[in-house]
Amino acid sequence: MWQYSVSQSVTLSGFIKESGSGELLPGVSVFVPGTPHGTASNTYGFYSLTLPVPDDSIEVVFSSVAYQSQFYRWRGREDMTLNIFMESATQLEEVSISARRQTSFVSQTPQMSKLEVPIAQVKKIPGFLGEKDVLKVLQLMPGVQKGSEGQSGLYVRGGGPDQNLVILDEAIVYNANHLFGFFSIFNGDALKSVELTKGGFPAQFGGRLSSVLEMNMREGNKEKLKGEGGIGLVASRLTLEGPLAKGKSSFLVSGRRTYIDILAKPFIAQQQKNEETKVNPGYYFYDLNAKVNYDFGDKDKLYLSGYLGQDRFSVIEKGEGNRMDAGLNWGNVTATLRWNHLFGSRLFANTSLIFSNFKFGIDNYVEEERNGGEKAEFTLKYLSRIRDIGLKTDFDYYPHPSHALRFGVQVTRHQFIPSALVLTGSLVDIPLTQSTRPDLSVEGGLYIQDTWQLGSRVKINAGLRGSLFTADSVRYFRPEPRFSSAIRLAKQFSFKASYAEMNQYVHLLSNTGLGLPTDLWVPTTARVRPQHSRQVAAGFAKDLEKSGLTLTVEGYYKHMQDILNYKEGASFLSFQGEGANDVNWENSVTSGKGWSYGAEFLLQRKEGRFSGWVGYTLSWTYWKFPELNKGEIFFPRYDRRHDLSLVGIYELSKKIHLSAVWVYGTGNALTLPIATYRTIPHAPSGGFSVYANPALAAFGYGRSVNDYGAKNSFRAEPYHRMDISIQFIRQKRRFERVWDISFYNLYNRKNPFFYNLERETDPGTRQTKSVLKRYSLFPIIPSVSYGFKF
Amino acid sequence: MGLNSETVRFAVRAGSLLCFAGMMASCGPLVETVPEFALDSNEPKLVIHAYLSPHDTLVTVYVTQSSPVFVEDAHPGEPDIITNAVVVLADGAKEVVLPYDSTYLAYSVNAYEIGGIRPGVTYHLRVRDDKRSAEAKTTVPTVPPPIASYQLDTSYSSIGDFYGRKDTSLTVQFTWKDPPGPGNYYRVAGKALLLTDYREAGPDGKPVIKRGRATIPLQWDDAFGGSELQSDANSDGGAMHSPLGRISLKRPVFWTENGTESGHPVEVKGITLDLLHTDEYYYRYHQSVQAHDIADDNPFAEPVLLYSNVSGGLGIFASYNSFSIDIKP
Repeated sequence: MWQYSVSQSVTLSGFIKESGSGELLPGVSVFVPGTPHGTASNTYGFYSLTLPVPDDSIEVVFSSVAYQSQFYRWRGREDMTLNIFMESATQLEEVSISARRQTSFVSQTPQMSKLEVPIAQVKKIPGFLGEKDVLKVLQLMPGVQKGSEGQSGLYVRGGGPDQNLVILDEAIVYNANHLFGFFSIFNGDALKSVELTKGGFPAQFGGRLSSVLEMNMREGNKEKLKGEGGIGLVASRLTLEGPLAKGKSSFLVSGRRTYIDILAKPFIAQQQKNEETKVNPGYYFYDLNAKVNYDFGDKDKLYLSGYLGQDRFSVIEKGEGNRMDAGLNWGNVTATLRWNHLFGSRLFANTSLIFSNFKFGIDNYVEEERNGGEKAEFTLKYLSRIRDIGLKTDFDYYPHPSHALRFGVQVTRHQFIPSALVLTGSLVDIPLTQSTRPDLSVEGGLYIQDTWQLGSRVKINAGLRGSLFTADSVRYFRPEPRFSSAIRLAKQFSFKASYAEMNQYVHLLSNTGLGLPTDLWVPTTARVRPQHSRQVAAGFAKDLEKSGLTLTVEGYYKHMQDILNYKEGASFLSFQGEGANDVNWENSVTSGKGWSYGAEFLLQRKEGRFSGWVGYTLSWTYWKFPELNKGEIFFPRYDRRHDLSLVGIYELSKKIHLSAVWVYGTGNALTLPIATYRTIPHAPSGGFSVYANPALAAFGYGRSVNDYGAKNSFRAEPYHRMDISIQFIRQKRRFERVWDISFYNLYNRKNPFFYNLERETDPGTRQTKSVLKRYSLFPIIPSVSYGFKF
Repeated sequence: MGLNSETVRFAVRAGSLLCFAGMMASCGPLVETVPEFALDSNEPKLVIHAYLSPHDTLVTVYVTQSSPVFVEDAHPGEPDIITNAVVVLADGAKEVVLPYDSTYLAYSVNAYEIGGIRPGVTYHLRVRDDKRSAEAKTTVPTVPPPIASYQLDTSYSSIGDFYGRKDTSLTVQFTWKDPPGPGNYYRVAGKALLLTDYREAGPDGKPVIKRGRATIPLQWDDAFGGSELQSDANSDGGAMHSPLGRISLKRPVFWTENGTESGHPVEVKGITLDLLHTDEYYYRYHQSVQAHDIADDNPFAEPVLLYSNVSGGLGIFASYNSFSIDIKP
């Protein structure tokens, strides 16, 4: 199998950068046309291509979406370092690009189930209230679904939003939501790349069952000071980047803040002019991304990046003799320090020190004046937090023309405070102080994988990850085999298959299905086992070179074991336990299994005057929990039979860009009452009955309750919506400006947000009857925003 | 304890703000009545409630039916009692038919007609009327372990309520030892005999305040842990504790023509503590009823599907056995 000894091969290696900014470019294909030899630049822009010593000089192609391909003629007699600068393709007319187009082909890599959306496309797709959102664009891809209206949570192949490994510059982001999930925390201006993997996971990732969402921040322009910003209806944003030491070091700072609170203040004050009790609500969120880097030469590079974001919602109510302050706040902080080191032309290493923190708090203070002038108080403080510190080293090793190895190790220490509540004050019957002592646990991973070119038609990526978790009384070590392969059937047409096992040691308890910050992160314990999944996927990938289209069709089957859900009736504030002050979230959860299968179809064009995609998913998801739905199989809320997205971006001219999105999805599976009846619970000591007649007393111990039939047996009406956007771009003398006018829900479809059963009395017959009301959230919403770039 | 109502108030605020945030452009009422389209077949179902105990002389079975939504309902929220059902109780050897008793609006029979309710015996219940039939079974648990110890205490809070009454209450907590082996379920109960002031209509129709005896159930403190219902799932063979039972000793307050008038302090004359050894059905049903009550006020909670062991219908057919002690404070 090993056809060449190492001495008979030569290596071309180096860094690939963007011309003009010096930004390192990941994912650039490097290949020798007509041979199976090829590689791609890693996250840090490094590539290493090892070839058998060629007889004659060869042509090496460097190619990536949105950049002009570079061609290098190489004699290949000895190892060589070659740094490449890629020119942006946007300056060129489309005709001249396609004239000598050599782009990266999906059909050539063994990786499957991977979605990439160029950030440039994200910025052109209509955004809700003008806010461009990476996660919402990913929801338009097959195999990825949204939850409720407007929410940015991702449901990947039947998995929940908790089963996504969301990483920003290698730091795990625990809550990706602003404003109860209506916006995600990721600011497109600061991002370089966004990739979502739904299956066939490479061995370097672990810790979540359903997907890996990897985002990398830009480093900042190394040549000159640049800026970008925007003013929208909800928020404004500003990004500044530039060199600190020319060619050596650069920085990037990007911030965003909402101003609903400031805009609303005068209206709220006006409305309450004559009211006795003044209510003052306020809400804002902000986020800040920052990154600096230093280039010590080709051997060493250092990066420091961070994210800081916070949502704060508050209500102050003041009346005569009473006052209430209530607040909710939540936010993430992440920081990553990375060191790249090159041990030679074939071995690249990155070591990262990672910090991540997510905190959610509620505070509530009530003060009331009593008859005697005494002041009575109620204070509630609630905290839920997860804090990680991690260390990670990854190696990329290119020993041989047919092998590319990647191996590494990772250790993370988690500190959990799932739920801590403190209740004090004279209005509190039973003061309560729940322990804030954090639960400590350590999660580790060790992996190796090989991308193996087997002959000219078969490429295999085989890997093994060992995952480790230890906490107080539990210790798990689980092997996770990973495998993916591509078999070339014809030119740019390949069959792919993959298998992946994943384990998840931290869990999210969520019972609203919305992206509320009240969702709690909890660890694996003696009673709560790690979640486990096995997924097989197979499909075809076809690149249509002439039209620039890519077609992928994939089928998958995923089995999930020990997934968690709240018990019926439990919620984050009503934990049940065996004794006062010993409230434990473990009593409120129950575990079960789930399985999901489906087919996905994606026809995508990433660049050109007319770009976009058609995505369709046909899928089934089932859950079975001994303690839910009486142990019977049921559809989870986001089981979705059909999911269709059409996304089109058309550059009418250099000055006008049009875009439109249409989505259709089967309605959510919900639990709705089908009947009501009166319970007669046992009252061993008698009790208070609503019926005065002692003969009827038993009927009065209970209450009217709902019969829901089977869990989630009601299907909501289908969801569909169209958004459009038009951008007017103009190059001014010193900067470029963009006016973006968009309409969300163009034809004003009343999509269901939730349903409620209400009683109505017929005015004629005076008889009461239940009616089902549909509550919708967003009608047609126009928005306008202004953006600039210099 | 006010937490749930605070949560609700909070959620309402959050919702209204959310609405405001989302509807900068236009905030109309986005509520519409949905045509009756997608619900399952919607016939009323039989609802059965019955609890067997070796201590009861009368076996009582309540039979009602559910009221489907979308159907006009003459008495919303009231029990819809079925009077023409055939109700049969069987112990494997013998069957008895329970006649309908219009006084109690239930089907009942003296327990001796089936040889008494005996621990360890499985009883089958069948109910049918002209349209439907339902059935269920239960195995009566053994006598529970004795109450091993109890502790009485008095608690005060320093600040008065709206009427200036200091909150004073008598609390009681007890323990027992779970017998080895899984699958034991318990419920704690108790009542207090009080001497207290109460109001009654006098001969002239005007209210008069009198002092007399009253029996009231203990209030179990199961907010934040502790429960009236317990299982030995995590403490098999170990010591088990009741939650804190509470009797309020606040002086009663009466509204009179002259404003409010305070009564005399309450005196506790006696307390009865009960430990019920229940079957799993009893435990699961009552736990779901409690969860339902809590979730009903909580906008964040998932709906609770009430537990039922009745096939072909709704409700519960369960059994228990009990141990009681009387104590003097």
